[in-house]
Amino acid sequence: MAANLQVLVDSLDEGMLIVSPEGVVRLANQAARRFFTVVVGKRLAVEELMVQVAAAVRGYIRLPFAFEIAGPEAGGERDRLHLKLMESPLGGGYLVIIRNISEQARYEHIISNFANLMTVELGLPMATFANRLGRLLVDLVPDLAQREALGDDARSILQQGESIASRVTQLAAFAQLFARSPILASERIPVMELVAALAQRARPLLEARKLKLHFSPGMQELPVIYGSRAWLVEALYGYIEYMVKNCRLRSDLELQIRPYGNFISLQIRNHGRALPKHSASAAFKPFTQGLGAPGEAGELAGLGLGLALCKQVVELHRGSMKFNDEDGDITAFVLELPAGAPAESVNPELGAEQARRYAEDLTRLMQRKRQAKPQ
Amino acid sequence: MSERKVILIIEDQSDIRKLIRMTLELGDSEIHEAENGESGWHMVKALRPDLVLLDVMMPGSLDGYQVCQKIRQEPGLCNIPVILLTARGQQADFEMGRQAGADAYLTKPFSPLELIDTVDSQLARTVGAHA
Repeated sequence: MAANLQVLVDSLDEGMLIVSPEGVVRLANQAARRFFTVVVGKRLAVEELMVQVAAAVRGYIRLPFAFEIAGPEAGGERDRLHLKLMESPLGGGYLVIIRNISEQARYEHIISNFANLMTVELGLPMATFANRLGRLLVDLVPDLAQREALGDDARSILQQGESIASRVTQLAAFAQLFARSPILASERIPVMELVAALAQRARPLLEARKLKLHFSPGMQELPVIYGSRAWLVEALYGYIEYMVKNCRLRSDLELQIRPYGNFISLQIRNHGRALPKHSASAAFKPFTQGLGAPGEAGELAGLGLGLALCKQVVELHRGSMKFNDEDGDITAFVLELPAGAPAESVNPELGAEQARRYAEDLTRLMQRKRQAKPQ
Repeated sequence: MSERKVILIIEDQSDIRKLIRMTLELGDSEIHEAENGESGWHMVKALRPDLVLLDVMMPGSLDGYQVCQKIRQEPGLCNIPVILLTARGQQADFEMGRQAGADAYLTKPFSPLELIDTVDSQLARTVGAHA
């Protein structure tokens, strides 16, 4: 077996085996060796798989054939493995693709539990606590002048309480988003739908500050973006939130969108009222923003990703972020996102299956062609 | 004698383009290729093909649905049969393809027999419509 082929198959996350009709292993990648004890040149001792290979040899099952088996025991538990058996596009025999579905389910379960824990046990109680803290102060010291005359210690305790509540609420909202939507997704997002979702997301914050978001789409046709709608909205909202909270003079925001080449440029500016540049460096630390406007009842308020995470979300969508500045002040955030689907979205399993289907059916097609030819 | 049919393949993966070309060249068709939505759309206008095979997810400013919509909106091109190629094959994708005006849908991995049959039936439909 060519060494570079072994390197190629070892780079796959899913297990991959090629076995002969007799069940002798011809090729195994590293991921497959994690699931089974494999010796190239020896018969594979996984009877549930061998039964299906034998069935395929006799034509009892139609390939590709997917089935599940229990994996090897580890720590008293046996994971479920999803196997897909198909004809091998390399030198005959059978190709087996193996995926650990317990691992995937366990991961999703952990993330979901974590998000629920953060929300129910921390986020919502902390939001309630922050509200009550404010009310308690009014109840204890009803007179405004007396409240303003409180000592530094009392004021500091109140500020710390609000700050901790804000951070915990942000983390809970972040966990909720993480459980709800993977960052790396391939949803088809028309840009106008993204803008509409962003406007809806930003409305409570803008209304609370009596600001407007002006949108100028330009005359050109806008492309679609492929990615995670929820995360992109949250990242763009992060820039708007930063603009709203840090501009020197409160003024309406403007969102400009222009396609150019294979990219789309989104510019968020503050009608010329600049932001002090020095404040941006702090904002590039995760979770440095304050709470947004309060959400609906029972929901956590603003996510406040912080510009560092916003930038990472944009970069995970193969985009980039920069800011324009004049005389040391930021005048606009400019985001660039690639238009269309990612060029590298080739699924190796799909490629192998496509090749196998062609190999199988092209022969039949040639036969049909020969039969159709007039004698 | 029937006229040679002009078929345009718009697909960003070169391997898939080659497989489709290889399959369709078994028939008597003239095959053209484009590797993204923009160049594909220009070729549709220039070639006025008899049929377009169109990938859905492509990088660049036009994806498959958008190219399909453009074809349907352009007088003189709007009757060209369009077959969408997709790796997703979910009901929402079929519905989006139908709304964009596609005539047929092939889900990857597709077999060459399925490809030939779908192409033949779409070409026969247009011949029937023009007869």
